[in-house]
Amino acid sequence: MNTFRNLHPLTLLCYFAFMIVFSVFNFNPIYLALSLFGAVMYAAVIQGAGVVLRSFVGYFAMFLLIAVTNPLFSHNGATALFFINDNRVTLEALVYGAVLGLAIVAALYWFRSFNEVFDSEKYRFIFGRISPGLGLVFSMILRFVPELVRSFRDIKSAQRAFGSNQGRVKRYLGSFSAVITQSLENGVITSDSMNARGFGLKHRGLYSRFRFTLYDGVYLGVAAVLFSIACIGARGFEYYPYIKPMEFSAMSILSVCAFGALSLIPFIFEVKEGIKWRISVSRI
Amino acid sequence: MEDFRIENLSFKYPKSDEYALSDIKLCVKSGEFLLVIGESGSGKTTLLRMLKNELRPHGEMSGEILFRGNNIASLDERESAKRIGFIMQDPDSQIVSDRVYSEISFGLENLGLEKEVIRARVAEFASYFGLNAEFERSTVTLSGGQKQLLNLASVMAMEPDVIVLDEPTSQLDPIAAVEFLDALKRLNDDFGVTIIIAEHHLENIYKYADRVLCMENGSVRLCDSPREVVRKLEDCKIAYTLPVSARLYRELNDKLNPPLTIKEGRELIRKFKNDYYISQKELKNENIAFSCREVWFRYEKNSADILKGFSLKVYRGEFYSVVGENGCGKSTLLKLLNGSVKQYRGRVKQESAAVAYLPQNPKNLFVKDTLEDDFKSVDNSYMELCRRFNLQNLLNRHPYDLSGGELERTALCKLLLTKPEVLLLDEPTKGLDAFKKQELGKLLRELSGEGITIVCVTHDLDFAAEFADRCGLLFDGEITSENFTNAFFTNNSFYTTSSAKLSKGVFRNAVTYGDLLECVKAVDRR
Repeated sequence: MNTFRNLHPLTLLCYFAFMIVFSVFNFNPIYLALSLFGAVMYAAVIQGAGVVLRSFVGYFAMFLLIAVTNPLFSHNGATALFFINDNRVTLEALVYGAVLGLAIVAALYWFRSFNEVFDSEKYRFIFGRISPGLGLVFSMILRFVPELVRSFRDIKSAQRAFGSNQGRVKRYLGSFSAVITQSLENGVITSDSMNARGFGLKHRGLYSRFRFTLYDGVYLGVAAVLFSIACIGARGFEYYPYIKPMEFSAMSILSVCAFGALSLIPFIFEVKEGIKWRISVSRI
Repeated sequence: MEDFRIENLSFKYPKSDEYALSDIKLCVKSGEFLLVIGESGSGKTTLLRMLKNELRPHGEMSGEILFRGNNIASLDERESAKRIGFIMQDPDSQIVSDRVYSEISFGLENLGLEKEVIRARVAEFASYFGLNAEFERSTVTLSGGQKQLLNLASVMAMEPDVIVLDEPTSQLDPIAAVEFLDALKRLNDDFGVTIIIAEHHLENIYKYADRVLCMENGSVRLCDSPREVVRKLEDCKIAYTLPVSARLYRELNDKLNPPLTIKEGRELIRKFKNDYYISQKELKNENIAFSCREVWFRYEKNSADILKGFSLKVYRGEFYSVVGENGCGKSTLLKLLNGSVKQYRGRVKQESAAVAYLPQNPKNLFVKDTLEDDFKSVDNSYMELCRRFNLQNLLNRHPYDLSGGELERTALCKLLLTKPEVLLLDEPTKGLDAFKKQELGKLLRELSGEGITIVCVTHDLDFAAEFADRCGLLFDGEITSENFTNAFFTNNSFYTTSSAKLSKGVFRNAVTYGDLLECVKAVDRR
């Protein structure tokens, strides 16, 4: 079954960048609510509703924390609710805090999905497009770190036999230095193996299993157009000294609609493909 | 056509008085399978590395190496990378990237090929080497054999004319080694790739070679077809590494064509059919060193059981070998006996707390810059043991600079400083050549004679057959068969030593080469 994550990394990267940038820089609760809704719906599809429901508790706590802390530090705003130690706690600051919390929670939900969708291969591809060397370094690090961890564990367990006459810290340090020495040793072999296969020749190529198809182009195009409309027509809220909601005009309503559509692209994509799959299976 | 012509090549490492290679003359034809044999330190690695510009060691060199008629040093960098492939011993460290597909594409990317060409070649070579299922896997999770096959695939993807291999199977288990060598043979047969390979375990590769180059102290002792080498090689250390049937042939001075395989070797001894047999030893021992009863173990709550109702009794001063294939839980068993992990059910009863564990990579035991410092950190009275293990001259060396055999000896020495009563060994023969194995085996026998209990997990059946008192086969998390060594290997029809396979149906109970020889000689005398 085709899924959103199978889109070309470039399309995915742009999409998530649109959503996260818009969520972080736009303090308009209408957009943020739409963004959060889209993010949660998509996360529920790829991670399962149960997992996402369970995650609500943590995110809600974070939201509350931000919403409550803001008025304790920011005393702007005209409507005082009450005083703590001669400091005004204002309605405006409270609302601003809530919107800030909403923005962060929405962005975090997008990051959550991004992490799930953007695996190391996609990272490597993006880095490799910036520079082939960078892509290789990324890939080498991904191999190197687990090897290092494993070798540290092995050495520590081998050192158990001599444990009694050394302190714990000393033993750890000893094992650690041995790990470094060993990986330097192995590094010599790796570098031999790289040289033997022509590393450092001019005009390095780039292999990737990704192909930018018309499909990816269409999705990227649609997302970019929606994003542009949303940006152009966006009108903000004002919070200080009084809360002033956004003005509604044809343009701003269009912008909200465009953004709503943009937020729901991944979710709709999954649902649509799911239905298509069911149909194609039922035909067999 | 010739791929390589080597004329009077001599080579000396900097700061060394001795020649690592002296006056080597050699010519390698295109499509040839050349096997290079010789003791560790006989110059095999140096010679092979001379054949690849990127890996040629620094030092004083005289003579000439021609590749396809031109001096190899004048070969263009791109050509050199593409046309001569090189594979080393260590399967892990040769791998560069984190995924199987990106490893195969690594060399092709270096050559700057078009994306579509790379895509096609990667697919082709992954399919040819049976790496399809592993294609997206992380390279860290592959087994040693798969890693080495991946190294071969990524070199082959560059479509070289020659592949040079420096002991590529020494770190692999026997099944993986056979698989690797078969793949190599297939490449040689199907595509005419020239293969130059150094090996010290010859049982499976010897029959594949077109020619065998015997090296000794940096010079060529003999270079001829495998059968001629069996006939002509004088008695020397290299002769002991030949396949069992070839060694037997040399002992018998037969007029026939020298046998290379077990099948041919069986022909050789058929005429000896006789009722002579090796008497089986049974040791009586009552003092239990440790015992496991109904032990169950798994690493994580939701992972599969590694040990399933495992039971074992080992007696004091006994040399017990646990044999079995990769992934049957051998290493886990040692960790359990060592106390690094704990069973969730069953009982492990240790009579003594003094347990020492030799890991698969003995380097892991050393954390200091010199051996002396390392020994000192355990016990100051190390000199006596060092003399016994013949390590006095190595005390100032860095542990990582030692050769395989030296390292194994030093590691045992360091462990013995803790005065263990039980010694646990994880694949102690890995990477050792035949003579070093003998040395190690004798040393272990000595130790067990002094009352140290030895448990050794290994897939080196010949080693177990020669030195262990008792053997057990670990399969599916438990010991499925167990007996005194000779009986164990005699009763196993398939999972047994080359000598036992060879003598099956002719001599009873001949499981080691020594047994085989004893039988043949006894029959000769009658």
